[in-house]
Amino acid sequence: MMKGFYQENNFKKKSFFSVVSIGIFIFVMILVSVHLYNPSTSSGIVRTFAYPFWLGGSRVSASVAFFFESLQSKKKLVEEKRSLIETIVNLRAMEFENKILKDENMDLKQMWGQRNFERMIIAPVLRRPPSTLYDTLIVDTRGNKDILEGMRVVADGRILIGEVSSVEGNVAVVRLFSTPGIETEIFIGTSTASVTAKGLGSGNFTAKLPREMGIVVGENITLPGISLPFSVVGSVDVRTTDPFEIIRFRIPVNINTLRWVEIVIDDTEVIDSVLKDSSISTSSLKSENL
Amino acid sequence: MSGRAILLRLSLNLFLFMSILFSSWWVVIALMILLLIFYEAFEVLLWGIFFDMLYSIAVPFYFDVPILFTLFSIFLFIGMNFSKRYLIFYT
Repeated sequence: MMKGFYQENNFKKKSFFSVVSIGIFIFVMILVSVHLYNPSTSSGIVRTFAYPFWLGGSRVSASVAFFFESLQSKKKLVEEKRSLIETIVNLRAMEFENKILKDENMDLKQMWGQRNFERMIIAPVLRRPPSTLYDTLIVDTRGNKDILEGMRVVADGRILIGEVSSVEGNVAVVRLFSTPGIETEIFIGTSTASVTAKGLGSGNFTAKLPREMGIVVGENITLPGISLPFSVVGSVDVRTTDPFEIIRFRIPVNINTLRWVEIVIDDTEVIDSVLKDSSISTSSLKSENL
Repeated sequence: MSGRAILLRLSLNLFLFMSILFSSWWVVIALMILLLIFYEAFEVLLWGIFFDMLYSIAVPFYFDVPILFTLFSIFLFIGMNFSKRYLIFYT
Protein backbone atom coordinates (compact mmCIF):
# COMPACT_ATOMS: atom_id res chain seq x y z
CA MET A 1 0.00 0.00 0.00
CA MET A 2 1.33 3.41 -0.92
CA LYS A 3 2.37 5.41 2.06
CA GLY A 4 0.75 8.84 2.36
CA PHE A 5 2.53 12.07 3.05
CA TYR A 6 0.48 12.66 6.17
CA GLN A 7 1.29 11.26 9.59
CA GLU A 8 -0.84 10.60 12.61
CA ASN A 9 -0.85 13.40 15.11
CA ASN A 10 1.83 11.89 17.38
CA PHE A 11 3.49 15.19 18.24
CA LYS A 12 1.04 16.01 20.95
CA LYS A 13 3.59 15.69 23.70
CA LYS A 14 5.82 18.26 22.04
CA SER A 15 4.85 21.91 22.40
CA PHE A 16 3.74 23.63 19.18
CA PHE A 17 6.52 26.23 19.29
CA SER A 18 9.62 26.41 21.36
CA VAL A 19 10.00 28.93 24.18
CA VAL A 20 12.60 30.82 22.09
CA SER A 21 10.15 31.18 19.19
CA ILE A 22 7.46 32.57 21.48
CA GLY A 23 10.00 34.99 22.97
CA ILE A 24 11.06 36.15 19.51
CA PHE A 25 7.40 36.48 18.52
CA ILE A 26 6.77 38.81 21.47
CA PHE A 27 9.93 40.79 20.59
CA VAL A 28 8.73 41.15 16.98
CA MET A 29 5.35 42.37 18.22
CA ILE A 30 7.14 45.06 20.25
CA LEU A 31 9.11 46.06 17.13
CA VAL A 32 5.90 46.17 15.08
CA SER A 33 4.28 48.44 17.69
CA VAL A 34 7.32 50.75 17.63
CA HIS A 35 7.28 50.77 13.81
CA LEU A 36 3.55 51.55 13.66
CA TYR A 37 3.74 54.21 16.36
CA ASN A 38 6.89 55.96 15.11
CA PRO A 39 7.87 54.67 11.64
CA SER A 40 10.41 57.44 10.96
CA THR A 41 12.61 56.52 13.96
CA SER A 42 12.56 52.76 13.43
CA SER A 43 13.07 53.06 9.67
CA GLY A 44 15.76 55.69 10.20
CA ILE A 45 17.83 53.37 12.39
CA VAL A 46 17.46 50.41 10.02
CA ARG A 47 18.16 52.48 6.89
CA THR A 48 21.23 54.06 8.46
CA PHE A 49 22.47 50.54 9.17
CA ALA A 50 21.69 49.38 5.61
CA TYR A 51 23.14 52.45 3.86
CA PRO A 52 26.83 51.32 3.80
CA PHE A 53 25.74 47.97 2.35
CA TRP A 54 23.72 49.66 -0.41
CA LEU A 55 26.56 52.05 -1.15
CA GLY A 56 29.04 49.18 -1.31
CA GLY A 57 26.65 47.17 -3.47
CA SER A 58 26.25 49.94 -6.05
CA ARG A 59 30.04 50.44 -6.15
CA VAL A 60 30.62 46.72 -6.68
CA SER A 61 28.01 46.53 -9.45
CA ALA A 62 29.57 49.61 -11.13
CA SER A 63 33.02 47.98 -10.95
CA VAL A 64 31.71 44.70 -12.39
CA ALA A 65 30.00 46.61 -15.23
CA PHE A 66 33.25 48.53 -15.89
CA PHE A 67 35.24 45.27 -15.96
CA PHE A 68 32.94 43.66 -18.53
CA GLU A 69 32.93 46.83 -20.65
CA SER A 70 36.75 46.84 -20.63
CA LEU A 71 36.73 43.35 -22.16
CA GLN A 72 35.25 44.65 -25.42
CA SER A 73 37.43 44.33 -28.52
CA LYS A 74 39.48 47.29 -29.80
CA LYS A 75 37.70 47.23 -33.15
CA LYS A 76 34.33 47.58 -31.45
CA LEU A 77 35.61 50.45 -29.30
CA VAL A 78 36.95 52.34 -32.35
CA GLU A 79 33.61 51.88 -34.14
CA GLU A 80 31.77 53.08 -31.07
CA LYS A 81 34.07 56.11 -30.77
CA ARG A 82 33.44 57.12 -34.42
CA SER A 83 29.72 56.73 -33.93
CA LEU A 84 29.82 58.87 -30.76
CA ILE A 85 31.84 61.64 -32.48
CA GLU A 86 29.23 61.73 -35.24
CA THR A 87 26.46 61.93 -32.65
CA ILE A 88 28.22 64.77 -30.80
CA VAL A 89 28.49 66.81 -34.01
CA ASN A 90 24.77 66.35 -34.66
CA LEU A 91 23.88 67.15 -31.06
CA ARG A 92 25.91 70.39 -31.10
CA ALA A 93 23.88 71.60 -34.04
CA MET A 94 20.69 70.68 -32.20
CA GLU A 95 21.91 72.27 -28.96
CA PHE A 96 22.02 75.71 -30.54
CA GLU A 97 18.48 75.35 -31.85
CA ASN A 98 17.30 73.96 -28.52
CA LYS A 99 18.79 76.89 -26.62
CA ILE A 100 16.79 79.38 -28.65
CA LEU A 101 13.61 77.35 -28.24
CA LYS A 102 14.23 76.86 -24.52
CA ASP A 103 14.67 80.60 -23.91
CA GLU A 104 11.52 81.31 -25.86
CA ASN A 105 9.69 78.59 -23.97
CA MET A 106 10.83 80.00 -20.62
CA ASP A 107 9.64 83.50 -21.55
CA LEU A 108 6.24 82.15 -22.54
CA LYS A 109 5.92 80.10 -19.35
CA GLN A 110 6.82 83.07 -17.20
CA MET A 111 4.21 85.14 -19.02
CA TRP A 112 1.68 82.35 -18.45
CA GLY A 113 2.58 82.02 -14.79
CA GLN A 114 4.56 78.77 -14.83
CA ARG A 115 8.24 78.07 -14.52
CA ASN A 116 10.54 75.16 -14.98
CA PHE A 117 12.26 73.62 -11.99
CA GLU A 118 15.29 75.77 -11.37
CA ARG A 119 17.33 73.87 -8.85
CA MET A 120 17.53 70.12 -8.69
CA ILE A 121 19.78 67.75 -6.79
CA ILE A 122 20.84 64.55 -8.49
CA ALA A 123 20.39 61.51 -6.27
CA PRO A 124 21.58 58.00 -7.13
CA VAL A 125 18.92 55.30 -6.81
CA LEU A 126 19.91 52.62 -4.31
CA ARG A 127 16.83 50.41 -4.52
CA ARG A 128 13.97 50.39 -6.99
CA PRO A 129 10.88 48.30 -7.80
CA PRO A 130 10.33 45.36 -8.02
CA SER A 131 12.85 44.82 -5.19
CA THR A 132 10.86 47.08 -2.92
CA LEU A 133 7.47 45.50 -2.44
CA TYR A 134 5.81 48.87 -1.84
CA ASP A 135 6.70 50.40 -5.25
CA THR A 136 9.07 52.96 -3.79
CA LEU A 137 12.53 54.22 -4.64
CA ILE A 138 15.29 54.39 -2.06
CA VAL A 139 17.67 57.20 -3.04
CA ASP A 140 21.01 58.34 -1.71
CA THR A 141 20.79 61.95 -0.47
CA ARG A 142 24.40 61.96 0.80
CA GLY A 143 23.25 63.80 3.87
CA ASN A 144 22.01 66.83 1.94
CA LYS A 145 19.96 68.93 4.36
CA ASP A 146 18.11 70.72 1.52
CA ILE A 147 16.14 67.58 0.71
CA LEU A 148 12.85 67.57 2.58
CA GLU A 149 9.70 65.52 2.75
CA GLY A 150 7.16 66.34 0.03
CA MET A 151 9.68 67.54 -2.55
CA ARG A 152 9.03 66.46 -6.12
CA VAL A 153 11.18 63.90 -7.85
CA VAL A 154 11.99 64.01 -11.55
CA ALA A 155 13.51 61.37 -13.82
CA ASP A 156 15.48 62.12 -16.99
CA GLY A 157 15.38 65.81 -16.12
CA ARG A 158 11.78 66.34 -17.21
CA ILE A 159 9.45 63.51 -16.14
CA LEU A 160 7.80 63.91 -12.75
CA ILE A 161 7.63 60.52 -11.09
CA GLY A 162 6.83 61.08 -7.43
CA GLU A 163 7.47 62.82 -4.14
CA VAL A 164 9.89 62.38 -1.27
CA SER A 165 8.00 60.40 1.34
CA SER A 166 10.59 60.45 4.11
CA VAL A 167 14.22 61.44 4.68
CA GLU A 168 16.40 59.65 7.22
CA GLY A 169 20.12 60.30 7.37
CA ASN A 170 21.64 59.62 3.96
CA VAL A 171 18.58 57.89 2.57
CA ALA A 172 15.27 59.19 1.23
CA VAL A 173 12.22 57.17 0.26
CA VAL A 174 10.41 58.31 -2.87
CA ARG A 175 6.74 57.50 -3.17
CA LEU A 176 5.95 57.18 -6.86
CA PHE A 177 2.75 58.61 -8.32
CA SER A 178 2.23 55.13 -9.73
CA THR A 179 2.33 53.44 -6.31
CA PRO A 180 -0.76 51.16 -6.21
CA GLY A 181 -3.82 53.03 -5.02
CA ILE A 182 -2.26 56.51 -5.02
CA GLU A 183 -4.53 59.05 -6.71
CA THR A 184 -3.10 61.89 -8.82
CA GLU A 185 -4.91 64.77 -10.49
CA ILE A 186 -4.11 65.04 -14.21
CA PHE A 187 -5.13 67.00 -17.29
CA ILE A 188 -5.63 65.19 -20.58
CA GLY A 189 -5.01 66.97 -23.88
CA THR A 190 -6.40 70.48 -24.01
CA SER A 191 -9.21 69.74 -21.58
CA THR A 192 -9.37 71.99 -18.53
CA ALA A 193 -11.24 69.40 -16.47
CA SER A 194 -8.98 67.55 -14.07
CA VAL A 195 -9.22 63.78 -13.93
CA THR A 196 -8.18 61.48 -11.07
CA ALA A 197 -5.68 58.84 -12.16
CA LYS A 198 -4.99 55.83 -9.96
CA GLY A 199 -1.56 54.23 -9.71
CA LEU A 200 -1.22 50.57 -10.65
CA GLY A 201 2.46 50.12 -9.80
CA SER A 202 5.73 50.23 -11.80
CA GLY A 203 4.86 53.46 -13.62
CA ASN A 204 1.37 52.41 -14.78
CA PHE A 205 -1.86 54.33 -14.27
CA THR A 206 -5.55 54.05 -14.99
CA ALA A 207 -8.36 56.62 -15.00
CA LYS A 208 -12.11 56.42 -15.46
CA LEU A 209 -13.82 59.32 -17.23
CA PRO A 210 -16.98 60.11 -19.20
CA ARG A 211 -17.03 59.02 -22.83
CA GLU A 212 -18.13 62.50 -23.87
CA MET A 213 -14.58 63.75 -23.27
CA GLY A 214 -13.59 61.94 -26.47
CA ILE A 215 -10.08 60.97 -25.38
CA VAL A 216 -7.92 59.36 -28.05
CA VAL A 217 -4.71 57.37 -27.82
CA GLY A 218 -1.59 59.56 -27.91
CA GLU A 219 -3.05 62.66 -26.23
CA ASN A 220 -0.74 64.48 -23.84
CA ILE A 221 -1.17 64.15 -20.09
CA THR A 222 0.05 66.89 -17.74
CA LEU A 223 -0.10 67.58 -14.03
CA PRO A 224 -1.90 70.68 -12.71
CA GLY A 225 0.34 73.72 -12.28
CA ILE A 226 3.40 72.03 -13.78
CA SER A 227 4.69 72.72 -17.24
CA LEU A 228 6.61 69.47 -17.55
CA PRO A 229 5.15 66.58 -19.57
CA PHE A 230 3.84 63.62 -17.61
CA SER A 231 2.68 60.95 -20.05
CA VAL A 232 0.54 60.19 -23.09
CA VAL A 233 -2.65 58.14 -23.29
CA GLY A 234 -1.67 54.54 -24.01
CA SER A 235 -5.05 52.86 -24.46
CA VAL A 236 -8.75 53.67 -24.21
CA ASP A 237 -11.26 50.98 -23.26
CA VAL A 238 -14.78 51.78 -24.38
CA ARG A 239 -17.83 49.59 -23.80
CA THR A 240 -21.05 50.40 -25.59
CA THR A 241 -23.10 49.76 -22.43
CA ASP A 242 -20.88 51.87 -20.17
CA PRO A 243 -21.15 55.69 -20.14
CA PHE A 244 -17.56 55.81 -18.86
CA GLU A 245 -14.33 54.87 -20.57
CA ILE A 246 -11.14 53.63 -18.95
CA ILE A 247 -7.83 55.02 -20.08
CA ARG A 248 -4.45 53.48 -19.31
CA PHE A 249 -1.06 55.09 -19.53
CA ARG A 250 2.46 54.79 -18.21
CA ILE A 251 5.19 57.30 -17.56
CA PRO A 252 7.81 57.38 -20.32
CA VAL A 253 10.66 56.21 -18.07
CA ASN A 254 11.36 52.69 -16.93
CA ILE A 255 11.20 52.76 -13.14
CA ASN A 256 12.86 49.36 -12.88
CA THR A 257 16.08 50.54 -14.52
CA LEU A 258 16.38 54.04 -13.04
CA ARG A 259 19.90 54.82 -11.84
CA TRP A 260 19.50 58.53 -11.03
CA VAL A 261 16.68 60.86 -10.14
CA GLU A 262 16.56 64.61 -9.56
CA ILE A 263 14.97 66.05 -6.47
CA VAL A 264 13.44 69.49 -7.03
CA ILE A 265 14.72 71.95 -4.45
CA ASP A 266 13.43 75.20 -5.95
CA ASP A 267 9.76 74.32 -6.32
CA THR A 268 8.16 77.62 -7.28
CA GLU A 269 5.86 76.97 -10.23
CA VAL A 270 2.54 77.07 -8.44
CA ILE A 271 3.61 79.91 -6.14
CA ASP A 272 4.49 81.97 -9.21
CA SER A 273 1.03 81.69 -10.72
CA VAL A 274 -0.55 82.75 -7.41
CA LEU A 275 1.88 85.63 -7.04
CA LYS A 276 1.08 86.96 -10.47
CA ASP A 277 -2.47 87.64 -9.35
CA SER A 278 -1.53 89.15 -6.01
CA SER A 279 1.30 91.24 -7.51
CA ILE A 280 3.93 90.12 -5.01
CA SER A 281 7.38 89.31 -6.30
CA THR A 282 8.76 85.82 -5.92
CA SER A 283 11.99 87.10 -4.43
CA SER A 284 10.21 88.83 -1.56
CA LEU A 285 8.35 85.63 -0.68
CA LYS A 286 11.57 83.66 -0.85
CA SER A 287 13.31 86.08 1.48
CA GLU A 288 10.39 85.85 3.91
CA ASN A 289 10.61 82.06 3.86
CA LEU A 290 14.34 82.16 4.44
CA MET B 1 21.78 20.66 16.31
CA SER B 2 24.99 19.54 14.60
CA GLY B 3 27.76 21.91 13.54
CA ARG B 4 26.85 21.40 9.89
CA ALA B 5 23.22 22.25 10.53
CA ILE B 6 24.20 25.42 12.37
CA LEU B 7 26.49 26.41 9.50
CA LEU B 8 23.69 25.82 6.96
CA ARG B 9 21.28 27.86 9.04
CA LEU B 10 23.76 30.72 9.37
CA SER B 11 24.48 30.62 5.61
CA LEU B 12 20.78 30.72 4.75
CA ASN B 13 20.32 33.67 7.11
CA LEU B 14 23.23 35.48 5.51
CA PHE B 15 21.71 34.90 2.06
CA LEU B 16 18.39 36.14 3.38
CA PHE B 17 19.97 39.32 4.73
CA MET B 18 21.78 39.95 1.42
CA SER B 19 18.62 39.25 -0.57
CA ILE B 20 16.64 41.78 1.51
CA LEU B 21 19.26 44.42 0.73
CA PHE B 22 20.00 43.59 -2.89
CA SER B 23 17.39 41.28 -4.36
CA SER B 24 13.70 41.17 -5.19
CA TRP B 25 11.05 40.56 -2.54
CA TRP B 26 10.07 37.22 -4.04
CA VAL B 27 13.64 35.92 -3.59
CA VAL B 28 13.33 36.86 0.09
CA ILE B 29 10.10 34.85 0.36
CA ALA B 30 11.67 31.84 -1.39
CA LEU B 31 14.62 31.89 1.04
CA MET B 32 12.26 32.23 4.01
CA ILE B 33 10.35 29.14 2.88
CA LEU B 34 13.64 27.25 2.40
CA LEU B 35 14.76 28.18 5.88
CA LEU B 36 11.42 27.13 7.37
CA ILE B 37 11.54 23.78 5.59
CA PHE B 38 14.78 22.85 7.39
CA TYR B 39 14.30 24.57 10.75
CA GLU B 40 11.78 26.08 13.11
CA ALA B 41 13.35 29.34 11.95
CA PHE B 42 11.96 32.02 14.26
CA GLU B 43 14.39 34.49 12.65
CA VAL B 44 12.09 34.88 9.62
CA LEU B 45 9.90 37.03 11.85
CA LEU B 46 12.84 39.35 12.48
CA TRP B 47 13.69 39.45 8.78
CA GLY B 48 10.05 40.30 8.07
CA ILE B 49 10.03 43.37 10.31
CA PHE B 50 13.52 44.30 9.06
CA PHE B 51 12.19 44.32 5.46
CA ASP B 52 9.24 46.51 6.45
CA MET B 53 11.39 48.96 8.37
CA LEU B 54 13.62 49.32 5.31
CA TYR B 55 11.06 49.70 2.57
CA SER B 56 7.54 50.16 3.89
CA ILE B 57 5.30 53.16 3.42
CA ALA B 58 1.54 53.42 3.81
CA VAL B 59 0.11 52.34 0.45
CA PRO B 60 -3.67 52.61 -0.09
CA PHE B 61 -3.71 49.42 -2.19
CA TYR B 62 -2.31 47.51 0.81
CA PHE B 63 -4.88 49.13 3.14
CA ASP B 64 -2.24 51.62 4.39
CA VAL B 65 -0.66 48.83 6.45
CA PRO B 66 3.11 49.37 6.55
CA ILE B 67 3.83 45.90 8.01
CA LEU B 68 2.70 43.77 5.10
CA PHE B 69 5.87 41.69 4.94
CA THR B 70 5.87 41.13 8.70
CA LEU B 71 2.30 39.84 8.55
CA PHE B 72 3.26 37.55 5.69
CA SER B 73 6.29 36.19 7.58
CA ILE B 74 4.12 35.51 10.66
CA PHE B 75 1.61 33.69 8.48
CA LEU B 76 4.43 31.73 6.82
CA PHE B 77 6.05 30.84 10.16
CA ILE B 78 2.84 29.60 11.76
CA GLY B 79 1.64 27.87 8.58
CA MET B 80 4.90 26.04 7.90
CA ASN B 81 5.37 24.91 11.49
CA PHE B 82 1.75 23.81 11.72
CA SER B 83 1.94 21.78 8.50
CA LYS B 84 5.18 20.12 9.63
CA ARG B 85 3.25 18.33 12.39
CA TYR B 86 1.25 16.46 9.78
CA LEU B 87 3.98 15.61 7.24
CA ILE B 88 5.96 12.35 7.43
CA PHE B 89 9.13 14.13 6.27
CA TYR B 90 9.47 15.51 9.78
CA THR B 91 8.89 12.29 11.80
